[in-house]
Amino acid sequence: MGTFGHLLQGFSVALLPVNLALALAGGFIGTMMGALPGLGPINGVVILLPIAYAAGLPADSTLILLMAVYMGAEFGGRVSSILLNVPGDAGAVITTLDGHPLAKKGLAGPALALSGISSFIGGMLSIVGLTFFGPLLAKLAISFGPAEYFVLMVFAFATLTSMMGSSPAKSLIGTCLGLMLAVVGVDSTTGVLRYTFGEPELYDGVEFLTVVVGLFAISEVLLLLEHSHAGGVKITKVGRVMVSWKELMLCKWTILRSTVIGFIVGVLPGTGASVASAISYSTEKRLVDREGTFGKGDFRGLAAPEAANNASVGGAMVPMLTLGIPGSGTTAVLLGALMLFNINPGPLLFEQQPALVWGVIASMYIATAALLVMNLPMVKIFTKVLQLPDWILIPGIVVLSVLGVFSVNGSTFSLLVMIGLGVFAYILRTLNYPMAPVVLGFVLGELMEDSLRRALSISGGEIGILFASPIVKILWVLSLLVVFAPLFLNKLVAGQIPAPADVPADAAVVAAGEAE
Amino acid sequence: MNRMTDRLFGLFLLGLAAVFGGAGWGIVAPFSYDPLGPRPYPLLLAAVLAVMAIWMLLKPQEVKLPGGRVLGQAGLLIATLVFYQMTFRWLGFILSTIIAVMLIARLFKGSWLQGLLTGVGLALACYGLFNTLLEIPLPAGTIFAGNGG
Repeated sequence: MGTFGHLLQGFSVALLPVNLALALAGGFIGTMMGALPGLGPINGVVILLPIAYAAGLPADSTLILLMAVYMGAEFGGRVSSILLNVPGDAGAVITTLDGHPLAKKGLAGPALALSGISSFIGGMLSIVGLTFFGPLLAKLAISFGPAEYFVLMVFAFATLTSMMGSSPAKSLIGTCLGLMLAVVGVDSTTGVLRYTFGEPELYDGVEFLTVVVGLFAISEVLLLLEHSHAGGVKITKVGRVMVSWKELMLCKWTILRSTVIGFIVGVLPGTGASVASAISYSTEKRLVDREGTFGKGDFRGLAAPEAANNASVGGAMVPMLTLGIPGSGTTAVLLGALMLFNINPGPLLFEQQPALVWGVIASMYIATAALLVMNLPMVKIFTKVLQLPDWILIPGIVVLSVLGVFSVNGSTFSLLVMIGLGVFAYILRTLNYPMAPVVLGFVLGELMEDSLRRALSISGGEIGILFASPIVKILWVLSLLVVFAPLFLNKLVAGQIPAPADVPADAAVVAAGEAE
Repeated sequence: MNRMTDRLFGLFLLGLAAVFGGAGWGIVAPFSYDPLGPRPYPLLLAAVLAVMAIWMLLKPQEVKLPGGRVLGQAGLLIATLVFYQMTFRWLGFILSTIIAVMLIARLFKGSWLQGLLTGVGLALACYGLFNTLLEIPLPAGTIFAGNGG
């Protein structure tokens, strides 16, 4: 069956009434989560996953819901960027640069419309990319053995370390902490207990949902203390949400270029929307900003990051579905969700679970189309969300987090683990440690150790197997390249993006910047 | 001053690496099916963490810490969460949620009344959603169950 046949099969899954309803609900909830300052795609996914799991939704429906939340949040992040000058999530930090100046000029309506359309085009084209590149990459990866897998993960962590956050050292420490957390529990090969400290609840390891809810939702709540407000935020008048054909045509090449950049950055392991939007903005500034209008309310400066951050979603799904390597922090959580259902992600996923994979891809098309409708005529609903006071919002997040973790584990011990990890993550984030490496390390840890040990079993303990095959050699070279590329890239990007001090960003969101 | 905090955390990480490595040293498999066994991998992780922790000790970064007032509030919030966890079964979901939500709402600039209303609303809505719609029973509270509970 060709790609189109599979896609048709996918639509037959995605169009089941329950899945269609979940895609629409997910898009709506996601847009809301994205619009709320401080809450991004990862929080949305993390809060909804335990509830969906406890409710007994099947794997495909759960994934469809979470994908729609992820995409919706990338759409919604721009609303508060434009109207309040406070990015709704990490991927929308760059959107404030030209989005808010436009709103101040009285062009809030056209800015919302243009960014909605850019988001739609970026999102849609990246799903087309996923549809065609995904199966190709999956075919290529079928020949991967344990040694290839081990080095592939080294590559993933190398990309992560070099592209995320303020300090490569801190990214690497975060990766280590995540990998260490994954070691806890019974060793699958020998049955030896590791780091359980005699606590029976730890024999199966630290439970995935407990970890992600603690790391993201609980630490986020603590971070939001610094910027709490009692509601009643004054919002710029929106006016008609329309953009003229002329303005749209002005941006067409910007949108297309940024979509390509967003997709490619999304594919790279560990880097997501925030990196994609920063690179696309600086590229466009260099290419088209002849009159120096970027940063003062240029439509192209708004279209670039919005097309890119939505395009990064489709890109991030490529390595996740084909290799089992997440392309962003949010996809790491989605990968963990698959494992909860005993589905092993990897190159065989396309062969073994075609209904699931293609159902999710098809529902991404549907959700993107629905999101365009929600974000153009209905965008004013989401501007109302911005006025929700913190004393309703934050307790709501806490109660849903606690309920999710409790209902999956049925134990209050897991709640204590969740709080402990949340406090630890709060300290990490306060000290500028990025969180994506921690969750990636935790999700990939077991597979990484397993691949290493199986590879060495095959070779009888000979370490040379890690450097033998051509694929492995290419991956090592790529890993070295990404580690040294930033030195070169920094020179290119330097001077194009205002220093962090100039970015009018909410500090909590910048801290969340690495999470996404 | 701020660099000091980063450095102190580096010290903590070094301690963590030592504890992790020390505990890892004690992992012994009666017999192993693979040449590597369960011990070297955690030791490798501990070694990498130790090296990076020393790096952070030598090259700490400037970090912006939240003010004392915010840290105090964070302490209160953490205490509230632990209180919520401890009373979850004992007082039951509804009562323990109402109290915890009220305290959290206070920390986020709500009045006592606003907190109480939010708490009652959230507790009843979630109780209804989970117990009836999702069919996941939430604790009713051992304190109300008498001696048999």
